[in-house]
This record gives sequence, structure tokens and C-alpha cells, in this order.
Amino acid sequence: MKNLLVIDDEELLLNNMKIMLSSYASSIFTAKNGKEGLSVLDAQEIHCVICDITMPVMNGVEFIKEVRARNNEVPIIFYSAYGSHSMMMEVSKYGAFDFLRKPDFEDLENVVTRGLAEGFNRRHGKERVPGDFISEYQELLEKIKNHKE
Amino acid sequence: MKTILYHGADHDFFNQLLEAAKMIPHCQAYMQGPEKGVLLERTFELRPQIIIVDTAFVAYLSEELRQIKMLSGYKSTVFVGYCKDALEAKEGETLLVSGMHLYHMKDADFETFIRDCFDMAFSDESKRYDFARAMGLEIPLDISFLSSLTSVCSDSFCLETDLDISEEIFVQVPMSADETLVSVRVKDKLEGRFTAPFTKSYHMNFTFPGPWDEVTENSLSPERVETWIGLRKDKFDPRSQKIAIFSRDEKLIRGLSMSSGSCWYQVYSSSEDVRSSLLFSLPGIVFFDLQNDDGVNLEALEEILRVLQEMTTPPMVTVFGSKSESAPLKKLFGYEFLISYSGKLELQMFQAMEKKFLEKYKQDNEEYFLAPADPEKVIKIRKKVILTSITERDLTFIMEDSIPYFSVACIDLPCPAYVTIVPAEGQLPPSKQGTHYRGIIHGLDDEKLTRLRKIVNQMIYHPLKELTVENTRVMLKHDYVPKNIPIETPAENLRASVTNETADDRFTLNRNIRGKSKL
Repeated sequence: MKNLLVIDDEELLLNNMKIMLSSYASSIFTAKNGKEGLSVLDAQEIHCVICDITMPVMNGVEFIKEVRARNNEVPIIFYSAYGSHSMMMEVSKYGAFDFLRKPDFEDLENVVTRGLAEGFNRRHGKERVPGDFISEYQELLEKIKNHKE
Repeated sequence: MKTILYHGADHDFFNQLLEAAKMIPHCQAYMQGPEKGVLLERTFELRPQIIIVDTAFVAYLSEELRQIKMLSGYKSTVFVGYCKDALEAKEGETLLVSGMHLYHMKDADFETFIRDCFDMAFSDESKRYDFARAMGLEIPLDISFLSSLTSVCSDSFCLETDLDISEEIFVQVPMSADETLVSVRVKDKLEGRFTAPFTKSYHMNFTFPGPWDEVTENSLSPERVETWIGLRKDKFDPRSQKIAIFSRDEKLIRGLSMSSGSCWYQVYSSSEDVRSSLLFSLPGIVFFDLQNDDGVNLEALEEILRVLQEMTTPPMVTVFGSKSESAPLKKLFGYEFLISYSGKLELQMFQAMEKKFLEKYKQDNEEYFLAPADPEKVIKIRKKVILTSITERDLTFIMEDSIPYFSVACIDLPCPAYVTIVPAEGQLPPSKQGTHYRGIIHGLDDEKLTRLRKIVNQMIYHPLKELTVENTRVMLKHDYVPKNIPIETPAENLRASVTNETADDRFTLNRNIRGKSKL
């Protein structure tokens, strides 16, 4: 059972997300701003969050700060848009899981699947170990070598 | 507590050192047998203010000295070499370009040796001694600052130095004919590069003769440089790959210093002014440690990545201590070859990653690195200065260029010796012609010291306008010095005051002056 929370001030987008991602998460919760999102996080077991960066009441930066201050390490995927570089930088300091470019959401399903799996693992104490990291590193080395050749 | 560490095997010398240490309150001396790698361990354990090394072990000491110099905690540690003979002293030059401040010959005066060490390390507590000084001089003098040739390509080389170089200089390089000075030009100043013990690094181009220039057998040509490289390929350092590490974690850097190291490590403590250095050295991999968020942060990482993107083959960047995953950082910075890890950059992990990297990238580089103990790496940059005073132990001079304390130079006249720039005792008179510096004279055996003492005495009574081989010969031949000068009535140009003079000091001073009069 993997639960997803989507936070955005555009109701239409929240509804679309619910439809698009229904087959990837067991339950999808929604919130209109960061503050509402925090309430959902308090009440539900959430494995991954998709969050807009620019929102009224509580924006994405304030939201992630508050979540991390509560020692909640849930993976948070942020929408990024043109002109939001400084906010992307800020949320990265608190641990962003990935960015999705608005409005096309390329690779949405893949990113959400990874986010939910990571959130589930984190909840169940399955952190990434140095060995996993070295393997990833090796793969990237291979990729760079092929790229150079 | 003040600590002196002696790295060598001479027990008689160490016993003298133990006695001398008693002159400084709360000072202890330790001896460490000469074994590879032990100097680093003992240094980290004892944190000595003075390290005296027996230069017989130059082969590994130069590397270890340089590694200690990489650490900010040891910037003020005084390194002194102790040499058996002149041949060993010559090899000791490589130690001077690796961070050694002074060296003394074993047959020279121990008292002078220990005074120099104490003056540099414990200047507040060491007694001040004055030697007979030839003052009020205005003698042009050539002084050559020791610099280091760190790597070479067929058309250029990397030079580390304490001098500011703006355009062209003439130097003797190992691939040029003996004694021939060749023209080299600054291609780029390599800012921010880790250059210990030097403060500056330059990418220098050889100036080869053009199609219309006269070519002599001494002219430097690309073929000559390539032949030189080819003939000594097995003498170059086998490390070809470079790893840039952005970290302030002293424990990690200490670990790297002590590891055998299969790559060249370039350690940066901040991201400021690193562009030229990174683009010159082209590291194959970059480690970025966000653990100590003090100048090494995401904004700094962004700056570094911007520079790395200028490389034709951008290197892989591994970010440690990152709260974010690799994917958002790749997208945020638009840098594809990035991987992040939330954990700390530990030495063991670093070594595992270095190994994997080397397995993938075994390649021959066009840039050849000179091994730490390679005597060919010593480059001397000559400067014209004005000698203003000299004793058998130190000299003062005016130089146009600015130079940091502890820079080491050599002189041929009045006798071949090394000079280390140190703070002046008191204020030196300002000069419109440049900055006034004081340098401790070292590297003299007993015979050279006697010669220098004699020349200084002659200069006191017979002021010179210039120093030449010829007039130093004349000075050594004749005995002009008036005998039995009483200490109470020093000559006008003989400074003979002693601060806090004791009976022993007075004896030392008397012995000095009267001893000289007999020469």
C-alpha cells in the first residue's frame, strides 16, 4: 500500500493528477497549499509528495522546511517552471527527490513510481547503503565512458 | 606545550636537541626513527611546532612534507633539514621546494642551527642575539627564488612559486642546455589551485624560436622538450589521473595525505577563483563534500559545475552530504554526470571509488608530472635586489616584488647559501625602491660559514659598491680587520647590542667578534 499526496493551488490539476496516477498509488490525497498538506501528512501515512513550488498560504520552500523540521524524510517531488531556479535551489537544500517540469510533466509516472518506492523503503528502514551508491556510481562511470567514446 | 619532532637516526644530535629544548619553557623534543609514513603519523599525533628531518631520507620525505603542508593546521610549523654533507644538501633542494624552511649542515655550528629554529617557531620566547653586521650597504645582488616545476607538456609546463609573474621570465629549465636561460611566458595564472608550499601557480608556455629567429645548439625547441620527456618517461610520477576534492574535512584530507594515492589529489577548501586551475588540470572526477556547509554549498557547487561544463569532456561529479537525490540536482544544474549521496565522504569510500575510476580510465596523459623527490623539479627565478645589511646569520635587502614570509631563495655571493625570508627583528627602514626584507642565511658548512664571517667583517670596515667573485676572493685573501675591538665601543657600523644580555650571551658575542678579528 503506497499513498501519494499532491499539493497544488489549481483544482483542475489536482483532479487530473488523481486520474493520471490512480494506477500507481493505493490512495491519492490532495491539498490546496502547504499548510493543508502538512495536515494530511500528520493524519495519513504518506510515501511520496508531489508539490508545487509557488503557492499561496505556504509555498513549496516553506513546506519542505516544515516537513524536515518535523523529522519527516518523505520524498518530495516538486514542479519546476521557468523562473523558479532560486526556489529549486532552496528546496534542494532540504532534500528534493526530483523535479517535474510544468506543464508537460514528462516522465511523471516513472518519477512517481520511484518516489513511492523510495518513500516506502525509507518508512521501513531500507535506506540506500554505500554499496548501492557505488553501483550507481559505477553505472554512471560506464555511461560517461561510452559518452566520451 | 611546545614540541619539537626529530625524524632521523642521529642520537648524538638528538641529545643536543634535548638540551637545547630546555632553553624554551614547556618545550619537549621527540625522536622518531626514519621510516616511511611515520613522519605523518607522528606529526598528527604530536602537532609539533618544529620538525627537524634528516635529509638522508629525501626520497620519501619530500612527498610527506608536501602532504603535511596541505593541511591548514600546519601552516606555521617550521620544517628544518639536517644534512650530512654538501651532496646531501643538493638533494635537499627538493625538500626546500616541498616545504622545508631551512637546512643546516651537520658539521656546522649547532648553536646557530637551534637559534634559527627557535627564532622562527618561538620568536616571542627565544633570546635575541646580535651578530656583527655590515650595515648601510647599497649593493646590487642577484637572488634566486626556489620554485617548482610540477608538470610538463611538449609546449608548456606548470610552475609553482611565491613570486608574481606577469609576462615573460628567463629561467633555467632542466630541458635547456646547461646554464642557458630560456624565455617562458605566462599562459594562465592558475588561481585557487592547491600549491603548497607555494602560494601561486602558473601555466607557462615555452618560447620556441620562430621561423626567422636564429637557432643555436642551445635553443629550446619542441623536439628538445619531447626528447627530454621521452628519455625520462620512467622517472615521471606514474599518477596520471587527477581528482579534485572540494572539502574542508581535515580528517578526510589527513587520510588522503597518508594514503598511497594512485591519483593526483587537488584539494580545494572553497570554490572561489578555481576556474583557471580546474580548466588547466582537467580532473577526471570531482568530489564535492557538502558536509561542512561553510563555503562549500550548493551555490558553490553550481559555480564549479559551470566551470566544468566548459571542458570538452566534463568530469563526473560526486556530491556527498547531499539531502537531495541525484536527479533533482542534475536538473537544477543542467549537469548530466552528477551523482549525489546523503552520507559522508569517508576515506574508505573515496578509495573504493578511486579504484573503480582507475579501472575505467587507464590512459596516457600528455601532461607528465615530476615525482616529489625529482631534483629536476627545482626551478630558480632570479631577481635583482639591493643588499642593505649582512651578518653571518642573516641579511636584509630591498626588492621590488612582494614575497611571502618563509619563501626560500639562494645566493651565490658573498658565498653560496640559501636564504629564507622571515619577519624582521624590529622595523626595517622603508624604501622607495621596494619592500625591505630580512632573510636567514642557511645551508652553510663550517668552511663556508668561516668564509662568510670573514667577508662580513671585511664589509664592515671596507664598504663595497658591488659584490663580485673577484672582490670576495680579495676579501678572503687579506686581513684588513682591526684586531681586538672592544665590545663596549662598537664601531659606527657595527651593531653590537644584546637584548637581555647575560654573561653567557656576552661571552658568545665576544667570542664572535674576537673570533672574527683573528681571521
